[in-house]
Amino acid sequence: MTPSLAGRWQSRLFVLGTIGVIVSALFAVSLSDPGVGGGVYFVILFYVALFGLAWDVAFIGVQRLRWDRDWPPVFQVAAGIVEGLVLFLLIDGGGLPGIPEQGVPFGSRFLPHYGLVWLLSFLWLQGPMRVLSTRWRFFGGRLV
Amino acid sequence: MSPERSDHKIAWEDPEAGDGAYTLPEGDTVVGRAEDADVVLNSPLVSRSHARFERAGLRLTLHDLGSSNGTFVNGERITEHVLRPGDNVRVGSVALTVTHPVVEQQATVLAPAFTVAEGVLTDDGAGAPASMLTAVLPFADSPVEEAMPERGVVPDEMLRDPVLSEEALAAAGVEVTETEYMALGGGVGSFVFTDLLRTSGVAASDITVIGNERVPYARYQRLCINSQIPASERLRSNSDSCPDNVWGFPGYATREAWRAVRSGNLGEAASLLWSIFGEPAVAQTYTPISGDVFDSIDREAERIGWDEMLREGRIRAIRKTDRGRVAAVVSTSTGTERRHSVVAGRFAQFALGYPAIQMLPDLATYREQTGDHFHIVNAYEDHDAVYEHLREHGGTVMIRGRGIVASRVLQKLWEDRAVNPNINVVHLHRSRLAEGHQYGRSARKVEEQFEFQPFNWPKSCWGGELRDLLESSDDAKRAELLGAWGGTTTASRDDWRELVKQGVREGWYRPEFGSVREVVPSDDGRVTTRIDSTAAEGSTLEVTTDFVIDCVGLEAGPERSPVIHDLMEMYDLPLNPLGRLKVNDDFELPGLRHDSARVYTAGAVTLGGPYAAVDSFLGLQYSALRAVESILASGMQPRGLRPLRGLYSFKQWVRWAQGVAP
Repeated sequence: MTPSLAGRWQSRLFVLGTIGVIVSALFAVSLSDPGVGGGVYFVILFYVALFGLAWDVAFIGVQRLRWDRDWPPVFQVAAGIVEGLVLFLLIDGGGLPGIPEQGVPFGSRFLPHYGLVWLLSFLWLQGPMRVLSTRWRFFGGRLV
Repeated sequence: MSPERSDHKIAWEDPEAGDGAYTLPEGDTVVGRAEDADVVLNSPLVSRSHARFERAGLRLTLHDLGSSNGTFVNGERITEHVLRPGDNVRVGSVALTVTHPVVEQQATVLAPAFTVAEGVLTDDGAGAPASMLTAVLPFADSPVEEAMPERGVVPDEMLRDPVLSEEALAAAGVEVTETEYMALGGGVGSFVFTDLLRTSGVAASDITVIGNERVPYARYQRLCINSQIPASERLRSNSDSCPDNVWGFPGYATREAWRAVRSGNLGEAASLLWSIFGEPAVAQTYTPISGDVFDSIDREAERIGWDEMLREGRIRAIRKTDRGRVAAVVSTSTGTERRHSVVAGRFAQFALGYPAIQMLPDLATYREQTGDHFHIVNAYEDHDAVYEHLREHGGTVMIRGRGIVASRVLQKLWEDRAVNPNINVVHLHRSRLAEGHQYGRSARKVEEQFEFQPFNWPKSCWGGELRDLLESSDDAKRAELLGAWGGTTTASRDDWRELVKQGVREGWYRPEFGSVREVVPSDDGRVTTRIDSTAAEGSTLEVTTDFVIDCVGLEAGPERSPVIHDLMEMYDLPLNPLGRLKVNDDFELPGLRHDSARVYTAGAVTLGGPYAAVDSFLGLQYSALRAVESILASGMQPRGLRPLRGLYSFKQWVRWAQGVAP
């Protein structure tokens, strides 16, 4: 993949808006904790999108240090791990609006939700996305 | 019609000497502190007459004029140095940025052989710049036409008119076939365009392909085989560059991995997937097996009905017609006679491939003067006899050029050394490669005089930031960017890197540096190359070898193609700064736009335009995609054509996966 900044943003919002919403809905229905509610998964999803817009700026900076201006899948994995860890630390540190005071358990809630959204998005962007848009891969991951 | 060329320029930004820029004229330009110097650099470490630039056409030499504090190229003090793009020049304490005209470094490599990706290479065959080349190696598919009776010839005077009268054609008894879409050329470019049309809903009966070979990859395959890429070897192409599949999904790596899984070879499958997962950062870049690519094209050709659409014949001219269409004048040999006819339609794309491959001029001169085509060969022509001779008798080979073909030829010689260890290689380079090309904050890696890059352009030229940047740049900027991104590179394959190191260690591989003065027959029936050595100042080096293999693969301009040359003359088509056809961002030739006709092109003839990797599989798909989008947006109600996206695209992909017709 050789995304551009606009392409990163658009692709991110697209996969989070589709795969992310579906996965969050499944979690909300099946793993809703009393007193917290299933809505927290959507709040997390929102933060993945929001902070992701900033992360993408940083990632493009890294990409520009590479001769090919590319982003090998292995980098995408590393980025997903870093993004996830930072997001969890922010959630755990408290103070993010919409996150319950007691936080979100990492192993039983955050990791399965974030991990599944990330994994499906990753797999989707490695190929199937191109079936829906033949232009996507030629335009740095832009959809419009 | 000579292409515009940007000049050699120098520029500096220095706290003492100030900022400035200067265009170097033909001849000498003296740089120094003295007021009468051509370029005055007022800095204490610059001598009064410090250095001299000598421009002779495209060649730029820098001489030190006995300065106190020295003239440096790439950090090394020099007395005389032929400058190459990317060289860092310092005069005393002042750093000069030297800009070269792009044409010089854009001697395009004949890369159909490797490509997807092949493309533009810097000429580093230690020879003259491309513009001086005259000798042309015609492709094997342009044989001299046999004399035979001609039927239905379009009269010459009709072809002298830029607008062909369809009525007059009928009156002259010329057969005119009507169609909606024309794919002219019949090679990989035409195949990819046709495949996209078919996948986008167009019926096979609305498409006419004109080409003189039945199989779309015939010429490409020949070049591969000549340049030592048999069916079992890998092309320099990306996994996702699939001429048989417009989505690039699943890519060749995934298909190969799946095949490995099915044959129980899980380790191999894992290693293939690891390649595409980590390339090029933590894994060696995957490249598809040549035979797999051709097999996939065969399958797709059958699926889309290629044979039904193909009309075998030679294109003689392309014209606008008075009924607002575009027409191709075609001749088809039946074996006993040659039938001429005209195919007219509304939408045409011509993809005629590389017009010709050129030999380095000194080698061409040798061939012309001696008639000896045995000792000096071009890597793209059939030269198996060289390897046969070497296996049997041993000998020394000189390789010119340091691109992907050179790597592959070297590998071939290394393989032959297993049969006969008395094979030695001299690799001639024009100058030492101290560091790789730089662009922004990134640079290419160099090892043993080879500069590495997975493909012939930075990867994002195919569809990332660099593609965006190139498209949004003006002509001059495009030429500059292509100069910065191009150059001769080879793939960083572990086996290639290892065999070069092994050759150096064992002494059978030796690089030499210098510019070739001449190539002459030696007294003992071999070939002597006289070289102005860059290692030892002012000395001439004579190297006698049994063979010289020209791996530079210089590509001729569009005017070498008779059909394109005729088009250029007839419609006064503009050229881009690299001397190729000027196309718009949709690969259309606006000069051929007609009442209700659109003409597009693709491939090497468009280099210097909106896209860098024009002669790659993926680049051809990109050009086709842009052309088809442009046809859809034309408001001309193209028959059968639908936008290939969303559910319709998914449906077509499923058909592809099932192997059923679109």
